[in-house]
Order: sequence, then C-alpha cells, then structure tokens
Amino acid sequence: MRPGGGTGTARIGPIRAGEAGVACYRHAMLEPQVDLYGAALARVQERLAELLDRSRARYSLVVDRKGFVLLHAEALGAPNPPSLDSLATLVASNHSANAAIAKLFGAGSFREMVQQGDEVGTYVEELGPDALLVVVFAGDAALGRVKVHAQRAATEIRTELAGLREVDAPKLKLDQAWSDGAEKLLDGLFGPRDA
Amino acid sequence: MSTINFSAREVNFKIVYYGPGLSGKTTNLKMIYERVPGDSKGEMVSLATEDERTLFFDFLPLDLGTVNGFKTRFHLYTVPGQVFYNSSRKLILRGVDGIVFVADSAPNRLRANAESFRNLRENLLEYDLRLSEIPHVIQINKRDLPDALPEEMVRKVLDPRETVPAYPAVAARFEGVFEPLRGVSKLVLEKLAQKS
Repeated sequence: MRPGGGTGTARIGPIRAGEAGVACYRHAMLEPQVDLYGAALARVQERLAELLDRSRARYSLVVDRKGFVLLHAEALGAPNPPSLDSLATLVASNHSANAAIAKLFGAGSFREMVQQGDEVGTYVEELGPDALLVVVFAGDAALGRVKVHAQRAATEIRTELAGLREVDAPKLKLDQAWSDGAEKLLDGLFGPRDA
Repeated sequence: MSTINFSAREVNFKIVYYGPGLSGKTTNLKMIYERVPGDSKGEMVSLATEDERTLFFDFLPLDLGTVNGFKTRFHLYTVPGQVFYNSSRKLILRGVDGIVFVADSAPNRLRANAESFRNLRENLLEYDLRLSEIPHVIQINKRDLPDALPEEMVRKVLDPRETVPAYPAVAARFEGVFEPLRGVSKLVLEKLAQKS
C-alpha cells in the first residue's frame, strides 16, 4: 500500500487498453454502487481535472457513500495527499451523519457541506444517491470559486451518470477460482487456515 | 454489497466489528494493525473520546493482494458499543459485507451481548437486510477472565442453533484475532463468487 496515499485510486490519465467500452451506473444487489469505466470514466476524469484547474483546488475525488474512493485527481504541484482511504471514509461518514442531523429536523439533507480551516478546506457535493464529489482546497483557493466550479462539475458528472443507467455493465468474472485465489491470499496474510 | 471499482481494478469489502461496549472491538483492530505487514495496511483512524471509548468508529484498510488482475481490499470498521450511540451504529452498517460480532465472556455482560445482537438485527432491518443474509461470525472474547462464562453459554445466547462460526479469543493478547477475520472474509468471498 502506498504510504500515506491510499491505494488503487484512478488518477487522471489515459484509459488503459481493454477498458474502452460502455460505462454503467447501476443499482446492484444489496447496496447501490457506482461503476465507471470506458468513455464515461474518461469524461468524468476530465471533469475532475478541469475542476482543479479552474478552482485552483488541490484534489478532487469521487467517492461512494460507503466510503470507497472511485476516482481521484491531483493538481499539478500539489503535495502528496493524505491517505485517500481515510479521507473518503471520513467524508462519507460525515456526510451520512449530517444527513441524519438534517433528518432530525425533518429536512431531507443539508444543501452544502463545507469545512474550512486556516490551511485547508473541503467541499462536498452529492452526485445522486450513491456518490459524492469531494474537493480539497488550500488557503490560496477562494471558497466561492471552489463552490462555483464544484457545483458545475457535479452537475456535469450527475448528467454523465444519469445517462448511463440503462446500459448493461460487463460482468466481472468472480468465480470459484477467483475466490480460491483470494483465500490463498487470506492465508498468506493471516496465517494458515484452521485445522 | 461489495464495491467493484473497474477504473482502479479493485474489489472492496466492508467488514464491521459489532458488539456491546468494552467487548474488545477496537482492541481487535489495534491488534490487526500491529500484526499485519506494513505494505498490506493503511492508516488506522479512530474517532474516540478522550478516555478512548469509540465515539463514531475505528477504521482500518487492508490490502489482500491481486487476484485475476483485481486488487482485493477489506475495509474494517468498529461501531461504538455504548447503547446511546445507536445512530452511529446504524450509519456504519451502511453497505456492510460481513460482520464479526465480538461477545464479552464476563458473567455480567451476558445480557449486554444479547441486547447488542438484537440491536444488530434491528439496525440491519433499517437497510432491509436480515442478519441471515450477511456473512457473519462470532468472536467470544476475554476468555482469560477468571470468572469467564463457558463458551457454549455465551454462544447459545446469541446463536442457539449454533449455525454461526464462533471463535474463542483473548484479543488483548492477540489470541483468536485473525481467525474470525479470516472466517468472515472467507464467507464474504464465497458469497460474492456465488452471486457472480
């Protein structure tokens, strides 16, 4: 795992070979989830990069409501981010807690979620029922500017996601062989299985 | 259910440690954090009060490795065990893939175990989930207490038909910590393989 930087998040960059195709926003099994790949992934990545460029923020992320990072982008010259896993978990949990507070007062949710300190701030926009757009900005980025561009990016990403609902996602083959392979890794990490 | 991230080629699972207050949920995560190699774990986050009682949750990401080109990752959470933090417990259960229920072996915590287990069922129903649908195991912790109740008694209160895997543990001494995690992880992987 990359020290302090979280793992496995998709940085802005070219789509890897074999990933081109359709993208999908689906409600799967027990818990809704967001899947992004192919052309839509590239477009959302572009939106995240534009958002950083225009707002002068440091990092932008798409995270799901369960706290997993789906995509992230870093501004050129930005310092290494903190653990993105931790950031995504804390933002998603904080958002859930704020929604619960709003509910206590009979409101659906709060319209904005902003934290602003002396050195750093965060701004969060909902991306439909399953995901959040998170912008992290330093003191040299104006909050108003961040808000304007984050809201614009969120609208575009929501449109992107909404247009993909009807498209079927390709199936990932997570069969018994995959399960057996993962179990071997479990044994490697936690020691041999029980007798 | 698990989050499959095609862009990052990851399969992510959320495992929640549930149980009554002071049963040892945070201790489990601390022990896991100490014993797992550095390249397989991320930062541990604890949202706790000054006296180290869990206020919202503890969080620890684990990276299992790559299978078939997809990284397999587990996000471990604890819930606050104290009765009055139920709103927080509900929030943490969102999107749960597997549960380790940490039971306390102390005689005066038998009722607390049962109430916490019932509370778990009730909170899952808020998400239209039944406990029987979620892979789960029981860890019977604090087996080193001089007056520890028999394992069977603790287990019977929670799982009278003994259908759920149960593991004795002394989490504070790192005994029986990995076993329930491996057990629930295996159940989660099997469930996903079946659904696919």
